[in-house]
Amino acid sequence: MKKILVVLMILICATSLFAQAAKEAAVVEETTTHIIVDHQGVEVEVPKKIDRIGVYNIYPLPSVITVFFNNANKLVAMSKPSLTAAQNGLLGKLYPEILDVDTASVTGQINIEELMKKNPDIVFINGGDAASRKLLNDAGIPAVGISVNKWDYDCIETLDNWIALLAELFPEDADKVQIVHDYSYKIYNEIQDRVKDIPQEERVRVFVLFQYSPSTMLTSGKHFFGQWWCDAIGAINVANELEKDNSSPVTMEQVYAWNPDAIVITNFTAAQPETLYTNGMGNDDWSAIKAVQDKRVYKTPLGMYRSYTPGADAPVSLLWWAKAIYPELFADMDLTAIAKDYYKTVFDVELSNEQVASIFAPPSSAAGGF
Amino acid sequence: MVIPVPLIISSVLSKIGIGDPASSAIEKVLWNIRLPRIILASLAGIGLSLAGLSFQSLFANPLATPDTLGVASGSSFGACLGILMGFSLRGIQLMALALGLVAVSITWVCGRQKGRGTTTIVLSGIIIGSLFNALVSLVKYVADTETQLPSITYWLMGSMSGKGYSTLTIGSPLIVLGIVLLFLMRWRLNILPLSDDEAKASGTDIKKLRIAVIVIATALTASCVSMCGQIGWVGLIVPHICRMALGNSHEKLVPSSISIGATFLVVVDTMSRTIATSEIPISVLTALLGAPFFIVLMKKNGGWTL
Repeated sequence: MKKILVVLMILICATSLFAQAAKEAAVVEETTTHIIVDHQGVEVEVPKKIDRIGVYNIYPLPSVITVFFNNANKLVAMSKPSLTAAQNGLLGKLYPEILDVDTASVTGQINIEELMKKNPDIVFINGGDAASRKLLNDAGIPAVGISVNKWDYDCIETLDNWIALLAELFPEDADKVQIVHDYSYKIYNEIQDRVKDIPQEERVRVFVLFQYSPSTMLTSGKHFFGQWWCDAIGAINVANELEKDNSSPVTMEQVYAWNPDAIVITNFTAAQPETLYTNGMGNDDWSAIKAVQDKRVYKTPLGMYRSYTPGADAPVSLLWWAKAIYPELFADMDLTAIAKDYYKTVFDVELSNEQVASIFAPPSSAAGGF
Repeated sequence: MVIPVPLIISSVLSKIGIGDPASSAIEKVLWNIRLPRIILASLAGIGLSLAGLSFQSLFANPLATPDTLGVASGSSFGACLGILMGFSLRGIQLMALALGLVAVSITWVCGRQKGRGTTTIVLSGIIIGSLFNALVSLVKYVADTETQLPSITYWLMGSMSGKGYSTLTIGSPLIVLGIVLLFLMRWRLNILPLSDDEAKASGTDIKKLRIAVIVIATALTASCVSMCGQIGWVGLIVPHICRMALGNSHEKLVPSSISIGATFLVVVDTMSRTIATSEIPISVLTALLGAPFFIVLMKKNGGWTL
């Protein structure tokens, strides 16, 4: 009888211990993930500790992630255009490790089996891309939706929101949210102060050459980043009558009709100011356009990414736009010094003068595909 | 851009030495943008209409189009490949022309069979056409989505914009030659839809005639596609309109296809660049305008038969 009692006691102790252990295990299980709300408003369960990140199709995001951590070690997959920009810009020089990030699994369409081999903890996707979200969820990979156009193509607000979402995923770097926000709006507000009194008829009329090949010319209508850049520096986007979302095709004849005062060429085309000065693309003759006659054609900077889109460079790019379009108004602002200060203050990245200079003189190959 | 008519007239007069030219921008728009564009639209309209007319008669099939033998698909593939490899406009155009001719040669080699009329050629054309369409998709897939894909997409939709005289120098010789040849042999084209026996009875070498017509129609189509991308419907609608109005005699059909084809495409192209600030792809408009117009005409006339 005693023996039975002892055995029973032991059994009870064992089970309660086991239960305790199980309970503890469950507690550990509970705390390894948490729920966040992504830009699409979807609740996503993500691991608390994220070491491996994939980025599908949001081309500027890998550069933002890289400067956010000041290294590219967490990136395991990104789309090819992100790599091209890194190869041609400063990003690849500052963080050579980004050049080895896999692109095969997430270029074009997601190759889910290749991507699973990379074992990402989370993958960032375009918020509205429901098909990719389902594909990733079916494979057990949390898909975090990022938005590029939710904030009316406002590059600074978009960057703010990207950093905020990153801070939610990586709370140890949460202080960056405020730093980025403050710096961006310091520059933005300074620009507003200086341009607000320019009378409407004296505002510079800008044509944004978003993409340019022998067969196609694309610009930014009212609903694309070009409109925001122009608005943000007190210039007029000549193509603001175009209602098409994203880029809009435009003809040379239309450019003649607009006859812009200045032209800004993005890094989504190999064209340089020289290309327009020498009529070097297709059959287009630019010589009668005011901007070309006045030699007022500018190429956007290529910092961490093609800076026409939102990205880590947004505040510096904004100042570049302002200085390019209104040189006298911003003559006292030293772009190089401010760029260095921005990267140091916000991301703790030290840039040399040569590196900053390379941001503002991007090569044509930055537009290259493959 | 709106240029008032008096300004256009004075600009034209200044070219022959009367009065002063208009402002530099207007001169450039008129003579370097619009004139080549109008020439291009009329040549492409004629080329596609005549190619469609020839193929319909050749295969005695009212559904035949300039793309029946896979020419347009081959040309499209050539152009897309040129864009992918970053060629100049001239290079892209030459690639389109070359690949169009390659495609039709493959069709010819695959479909040629002794004693089997033209049916196998048409079948082979459909196969080669879809083969090249698949290759176009492949090129689109590997193209850089931010820089090259938009160029390819807009090119495939067809456009007359951004074309100058240099575009015409590559594309127009074959078109002009093709137009002249088809015009000269217009009465012989009447023999095409006949059966082999009937054709023999007429004393014409039907085989040589067929080969000649295929070569000419192919060169016409490839030249058009190389200059302005894929423009659907023209090759189908224009010959049908002419047939409904004038019957089946090619002595009337060839000249009428030339004039109606040129007019149709110049009108559609003008609409495509004036309806909105941003240009509407021309192939969209040819279908949107062509389809209803065609249906109305068909209901009225009860269609036509070969």
